[in-house]
Amino acid sequence: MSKVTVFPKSKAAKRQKIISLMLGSSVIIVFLIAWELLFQFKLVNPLFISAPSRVVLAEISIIKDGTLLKHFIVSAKEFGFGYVAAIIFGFPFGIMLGWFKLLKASFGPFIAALQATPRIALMPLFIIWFGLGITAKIVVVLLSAIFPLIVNLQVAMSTIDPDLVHVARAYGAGRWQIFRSIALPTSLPFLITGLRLAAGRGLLGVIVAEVFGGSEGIGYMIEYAGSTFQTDKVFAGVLVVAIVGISLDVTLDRVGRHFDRWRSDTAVH
Amino acid sequence: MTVDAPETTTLQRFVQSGVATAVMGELDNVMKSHNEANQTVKYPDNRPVKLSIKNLVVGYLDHQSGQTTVAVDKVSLDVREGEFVSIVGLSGCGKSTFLNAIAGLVKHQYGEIKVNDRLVNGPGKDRAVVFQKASLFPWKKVGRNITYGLELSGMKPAEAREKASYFVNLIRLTGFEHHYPHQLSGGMQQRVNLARALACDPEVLLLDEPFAALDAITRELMQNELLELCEKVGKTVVMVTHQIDEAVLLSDRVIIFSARPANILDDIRVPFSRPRKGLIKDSEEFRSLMSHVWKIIEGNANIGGGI
Repeated sequence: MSKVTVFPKSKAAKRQKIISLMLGSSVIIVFLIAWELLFQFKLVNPLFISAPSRVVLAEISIIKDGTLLKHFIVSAKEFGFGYVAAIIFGFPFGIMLGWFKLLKASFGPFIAALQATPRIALMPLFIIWFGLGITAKIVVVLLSAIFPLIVNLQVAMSTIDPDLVHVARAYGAGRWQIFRSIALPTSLPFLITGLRLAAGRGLLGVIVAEVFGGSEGIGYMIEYAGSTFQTDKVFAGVLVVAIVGISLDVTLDRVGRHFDRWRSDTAVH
Repeated sequence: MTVDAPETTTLQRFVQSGVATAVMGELDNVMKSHNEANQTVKYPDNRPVKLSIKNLVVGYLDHQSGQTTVAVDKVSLDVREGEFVSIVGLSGCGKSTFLNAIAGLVKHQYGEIKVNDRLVNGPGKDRAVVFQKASLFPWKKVGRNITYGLELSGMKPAEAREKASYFVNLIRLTGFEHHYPHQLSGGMQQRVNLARALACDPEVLLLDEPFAALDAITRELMQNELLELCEKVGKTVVMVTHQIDEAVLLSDRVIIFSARPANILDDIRVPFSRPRKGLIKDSEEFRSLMSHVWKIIEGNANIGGGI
């Protein structure tokens, strides 16, 4: 019996990857240089636009004096609690909605209505209910992150291969065994997609909620720096949020790929 | 109409089932001719009966049209231990429904199915099915796919792994235990499907057009492989197929189903001795048996207009 041959990535494919990487990074570098020049030659009021070099300096100073860490910890807590709560409620709820048709019929329209409502518009209410502290922000993160999870897992249940269920039944599998051996593995890629979307929405939620009201967190730091014309500090805050967002996305993508090894290479992710 | 006691209970069970009222008209015919139903053993055989089917009626309700279809009409069949029985017939004649009823995946309205003298009502560990589509779990490696049935019934992973490697060798996929299904060809996938069924060590193995989805060459090779495999493990097998040559090559008996509703037109004993080789297909005897089977199917198709 012959061994299955796995072809290594061709040289042409490797070269193409390097070229696109170079193109992508050179656009960013050109942009940063142009921005710096705009500032150095005072073509636009420097107060409004800051400069990459100033942003780096501001970043270093807020790291040194501990402001960044203080605000970062608050934002991380708000995001963390809200995100985990979204998973705890969203994962089983989404699966149940997809699994039980009656449940979907009852809750589907309500969820669609909630999803269409911009959560941040409810922020004044949350402040009235939960105050200016951490709780209101956790609720915003929870409500921002939960819907992508619910929707994705519900869709996952509808992609279950009926032939596999037929086979499982023929082997005498009960409802719970079918759920565990077919529904859960099927849902995994959808869970990862849901988690990635939820991370993005949750991050947005936490920053906007902090800008809205309160006295702590990265969002508050950005808002305060903006209203006192410290544009370099605004950019420094935004940079931190962007880095966190990208690393979360990359990490979840890696985790997803790890669980996706069984998929054929041609499958759409 | 007068019926005696045991029949009344079957009747009651029938009435309680969902399709009952709709199939009621059909039932009259069944009851009328019930006593005439022939139970003669066509071929004397002293092996114990493994699978016994008596007066099986399977009907189903089409939810869209509201029409009832009787797919299997009063079929009786005994399969003895170690026997390989094939069922051939026109497509849509109800032979797959018949097999699904034996598997317990489709409810029957009348009659009984017994495996080792135990009544069948629902899927069970004493039967295993190989469907036309391999339907392997794409996220499980070959080994774990083979042991799926064993894991369902709670076998320990270490023990299951040992079993898996035995069956991987049996279906000649040594070295592929840790491959995912998408890395295998269609024929290899179907072999894994077969191993998954054999691993459960079922009393009766049910094959539902197992090679229909394969290309002609692979199918030919798989037939020979199944022939060898079955003679090695000595299972009781019921196979549904469209391929007359496949049926004659593999079987001890070929059962010919009529157009729907299915009943048995003929029960033909295949005279070739075992172990057989795929080469017997070239013999005069093989060809004349095939054309005999074909004539019965064709004759029925013309009468019933069942094509």
